[in-house]
Amino acid sequence: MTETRDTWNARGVVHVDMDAFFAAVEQLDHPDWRGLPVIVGGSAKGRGVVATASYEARRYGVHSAMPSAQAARRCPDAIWAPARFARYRELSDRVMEILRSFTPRVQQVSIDEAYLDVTPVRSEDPDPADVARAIQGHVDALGLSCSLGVATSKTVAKIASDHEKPHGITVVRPGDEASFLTPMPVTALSGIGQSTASRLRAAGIKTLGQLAALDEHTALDLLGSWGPDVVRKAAGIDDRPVGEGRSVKSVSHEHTFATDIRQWAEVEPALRDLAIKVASRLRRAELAGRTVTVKVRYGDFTTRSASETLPSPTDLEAELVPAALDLVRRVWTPGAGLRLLGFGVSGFSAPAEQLDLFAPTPAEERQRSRALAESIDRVRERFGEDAIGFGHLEHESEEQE
Amino acid sequence: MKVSIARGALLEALSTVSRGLSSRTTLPILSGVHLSASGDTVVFQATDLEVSIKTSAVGKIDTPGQTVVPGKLLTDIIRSLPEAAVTIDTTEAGSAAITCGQSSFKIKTLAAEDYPKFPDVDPADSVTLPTDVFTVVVHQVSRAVSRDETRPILTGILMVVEPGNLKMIATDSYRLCVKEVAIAEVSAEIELVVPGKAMEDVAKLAGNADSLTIGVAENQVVFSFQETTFISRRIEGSFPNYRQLLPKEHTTRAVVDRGEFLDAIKRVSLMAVHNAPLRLSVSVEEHTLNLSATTQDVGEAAEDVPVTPEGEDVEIAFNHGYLLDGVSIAEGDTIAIEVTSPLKPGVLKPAEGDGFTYLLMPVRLG
Repeated sequence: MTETRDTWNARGVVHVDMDAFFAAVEQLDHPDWRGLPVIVGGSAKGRGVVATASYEARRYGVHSAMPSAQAARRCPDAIWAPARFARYRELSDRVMEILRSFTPRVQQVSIDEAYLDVTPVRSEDPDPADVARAIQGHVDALGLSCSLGVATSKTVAKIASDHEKPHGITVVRPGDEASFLTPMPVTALSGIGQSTASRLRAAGIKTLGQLAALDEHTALDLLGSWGPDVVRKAAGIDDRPVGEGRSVKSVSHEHTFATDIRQWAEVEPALRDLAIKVASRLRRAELAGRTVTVKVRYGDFTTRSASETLPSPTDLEAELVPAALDLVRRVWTPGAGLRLLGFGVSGFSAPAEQLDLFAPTPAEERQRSRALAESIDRVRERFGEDAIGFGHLEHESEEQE
Repeated sequence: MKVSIARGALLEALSTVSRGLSSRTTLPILSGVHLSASGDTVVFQATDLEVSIKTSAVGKIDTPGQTVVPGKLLTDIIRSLPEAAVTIDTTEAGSAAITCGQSSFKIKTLAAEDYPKFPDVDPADSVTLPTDVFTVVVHQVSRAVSRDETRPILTGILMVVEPGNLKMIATDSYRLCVKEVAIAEVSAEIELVVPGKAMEDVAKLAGNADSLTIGVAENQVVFSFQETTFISRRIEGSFPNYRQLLPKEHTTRAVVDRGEFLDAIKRVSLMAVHNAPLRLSVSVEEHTLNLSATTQDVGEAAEDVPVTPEGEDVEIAFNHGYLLDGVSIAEGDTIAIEVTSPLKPGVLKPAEGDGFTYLLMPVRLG
């Protein structure tokens, strides 16, 4: 590096975005797939969608969230891989570990994306751009690829990381924000989708520079209450600290079935599975909730849900599963076809606990039950979701048939 | 068998043995009261195989003999009768004719020969206690007896008699109640765990007697008072070492008027539904104990109670039912609350003296 640069004298934020993460993991685990179009997602025969396409597949016009059937038409030679979330999470954890080795101020925003606050505080602290390069080196060593954006705010860092994908590093030094953002299309800004973009286009606004120039009144008119905020972000003004995310209000999981399910024997295990997944996520997030909700969508797309408040907050499947099975009966009668089933928990508060004089006691039983559940989580993380589960009486489901 | 007994004496005897009636449908014979008549006495027995109760009443015996009559039905009949002599006649096999004044009943009897023999217990040690003391102590500690059968030892009351001293201890693992009284005339030494329910029954039944004798055998305990013998099994196993559970010190002590505190707890507890805990916060400077409760989606309540505090300000939360129990059964017009930390047990005791200790575990707030 021969470039001369000024000392980074502002906030330093790095946005790390893994490149085609799920597909990259599959190519890492299947060396003979490297260089070939790989699509991770639901099978083309069902109602699945593409979760991630490798860069080789993207050349054929395949992208995330595209219906699998369409992707199969565009890229007939693609290798299809079912999603292995446990494995992705494992590698995601390793990436996050790398990030945390640079700074404790890491905000993971999804399985393949995170912000770091690397503001140089002391004179010997490295320049944020050098931190980004070092991170990329470590991720490369894992056998994966990431793109990084380095800037003075989260908004600009995120736009920067997307600037040169894959395996790029884009540095927007303090003071360079305007020149970097101005020519960008409005869709570069996170939160501006196709419909907002077309509304802006109708008003003659195509670039972030044009958007940043709007007065507050026009912004409100065009974009509603969040307009002024969008305008500030378009100008690179964003002082949200790293680590501040939306606080979690609910944890839920849903599943769309390839073909509608109708029988209790199908609904019961599916719902049980969802509740177990939600419980597992609650424990990971150290949350316990009191409100449980079951959502069903019928074959004709009508959607219904039922909620109930439990006596005390919980994060255990032993308590969530019976509540879920109870609730689904309120919104669904066996025989009716369901295309989607969802389960969620909200109303979070840390559980109050009656303490005990001795062991073992009911509170310890609960502790044991938690230890068991956490062990199961660990087994599933290592060996996959189906590696371990509770036994069920076979005749229970037969009775319903 | 044909006997005549005054309705009052008959009802009293039946009420006594009824506490031993079994509701188990697998052994129908145990739903009956065994009657046997000889001399001038009718002996009544009942058992559910956990406890066996025997008592007697004086009557006019025309024909000695024995029978087993459905217990609840017989008691209900006798209770409904006017105060007069009641005749029970079983000369016709398989049924008992009950007559009193103008009323007559005929009820099917059970086979007396199928009835279990009354246990023949030979106590190794025994002690006689004043009934009023026994009753008060049982009433206090029985609140803390566990209803959870998974730890049988905690469903009992530990009774310790030492020379000059009676002690009872019960705990359900959330609270622990220790009551100790001096009884000058006692010199025996016994220590045993008796099912809490049996102790409560004895305390109720022995109410009219001046004293009761407790005989301790290897597996059983025999309570004798007036005409009644009440036998219960003992609970095997070792009772938790309660002494080491009692805190040796405290950082906050607040003395409060028991009546005021009790009323405040009852009011504030109305907003502690779904097992929401009751928060206690002692302000030493303001001489107050603030009680509060909040239930999500329901509401909240708070009240300040004047206290005489010592030590540091503290905040702790308890299950409102457990706290209410403790304050209800504590002795004296003023009680002291002693606390060390929000996660350590709190102690209720009389402001003066230390014969009564109610320890309760806090609720850890989320």
